[in-house]
Amino acid sequence: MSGDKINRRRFLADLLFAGGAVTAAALLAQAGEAEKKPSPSDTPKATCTSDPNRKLDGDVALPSSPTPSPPEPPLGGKPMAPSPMVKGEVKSPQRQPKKP
Amino acid sequence: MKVCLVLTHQCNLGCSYCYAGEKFKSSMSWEIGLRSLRLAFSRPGPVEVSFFGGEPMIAFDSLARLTRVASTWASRAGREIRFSMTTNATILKDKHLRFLRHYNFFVGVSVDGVEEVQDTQRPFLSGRGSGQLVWRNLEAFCHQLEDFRVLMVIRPGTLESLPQAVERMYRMGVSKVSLLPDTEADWSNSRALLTRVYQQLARVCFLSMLTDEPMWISPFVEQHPAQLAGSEGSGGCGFGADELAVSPAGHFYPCARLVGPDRRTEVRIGSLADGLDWERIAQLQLQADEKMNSCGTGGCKCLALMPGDQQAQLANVAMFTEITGEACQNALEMVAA
Ligand code: SF4
Repeated sequence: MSGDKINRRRFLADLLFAGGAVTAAALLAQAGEAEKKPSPSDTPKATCTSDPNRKLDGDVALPSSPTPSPPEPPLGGKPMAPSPMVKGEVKSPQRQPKKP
Repeated sequence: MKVCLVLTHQCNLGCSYCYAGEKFKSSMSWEIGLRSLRLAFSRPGPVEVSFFGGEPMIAFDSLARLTRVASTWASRAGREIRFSMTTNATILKDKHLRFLRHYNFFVGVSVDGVEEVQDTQRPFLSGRGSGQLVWRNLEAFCHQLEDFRVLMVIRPGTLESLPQAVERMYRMGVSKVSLLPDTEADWSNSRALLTRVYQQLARVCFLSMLTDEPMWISPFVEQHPAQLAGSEGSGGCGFGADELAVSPAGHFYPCARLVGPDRRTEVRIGSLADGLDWERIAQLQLQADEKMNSCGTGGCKCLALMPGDQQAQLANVAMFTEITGEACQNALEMVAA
């Protein structure tokens, strides 16, 4: 984390976490990002390039919509049990099948 | 395929709500670790290996060895591989950070709130608070890792200071936070406070997404139109089909949170010795779907298989879904105003 980034964060935090609800327009004006101001019909754009929804173990996803999810498709294919392993053996994995 | 290796049942913390169950000294053997990795490589497509516990950093040596092996296999086979880990952030040295960086780990750091909250919710086994140490280590994560997520278990007693903790994290450089409600807690007297806090944090999340320094707060970010448009729908998991967890003894579960002390045979879906039990997987999926649908919720199926009073837990899930939806709607209107 560079000093610039920390300073930028501090500045934005003062706006984002301000007691009264700061409006989007006020935020953008003060944050010097007026060019990104959304029109009422616009929805804000995601600005992050990495996957913000990537889940972790222990990070249990609560439902993201109030409607039930559709039923899972039936499982297909044969189970692939791991082949038996000789103690201490380190075997390299199967290669990915070549594409036709 | 994603395989989560539960490296040990041991943990140095004694969280008041711990779902990992009884802590005992039982770690995954080298052989079981290797066989679990082999399972992760057994199907075509990207490989994801994650480490969980107990506290996986207690077993750092085996975590590091297994990571090196998996990474070698992946590069030899030309396979894409991703590593992740969930840690309580109490065991962290420079060499650990260097290692995590080198293998581009996506790390989940569990922090429940400001020091006082952390001390009460997540003390060391001795009773000593972990707050100071964990916040210091969180700062180290901010400096050293490109991509990590803070996992915050929220309970009625932690709500009041939650915005303060999230603000402090944002100032520090944290960009991703997941709010994970303790669904076993009694929320009946906390609805108003929860609504207020969620509305504030949903607003912060959506507003910050207009800037060059977004704060991605789950579960709000998933409901943002920009995310909904690009997502494939459910925020659930592979549930045994293309995702599973392996206990230190080599038993399979649909999710790491279901492993506990590895005694719930009713939610096991096979083992390294016997392979995957597809019949059981289908049966558990059905069971979970029925429970989730009957209370009007979708999402992660494992919620319906957690131990304890499931009806009460699913009622809490439904309440959180409703409050989250309202908070997001409210935030969207504000952002568009
Ligand atoms: S850190 Fe995780 S495993 Fe350890 S006591 Fe807390 S919740 Fe349980």
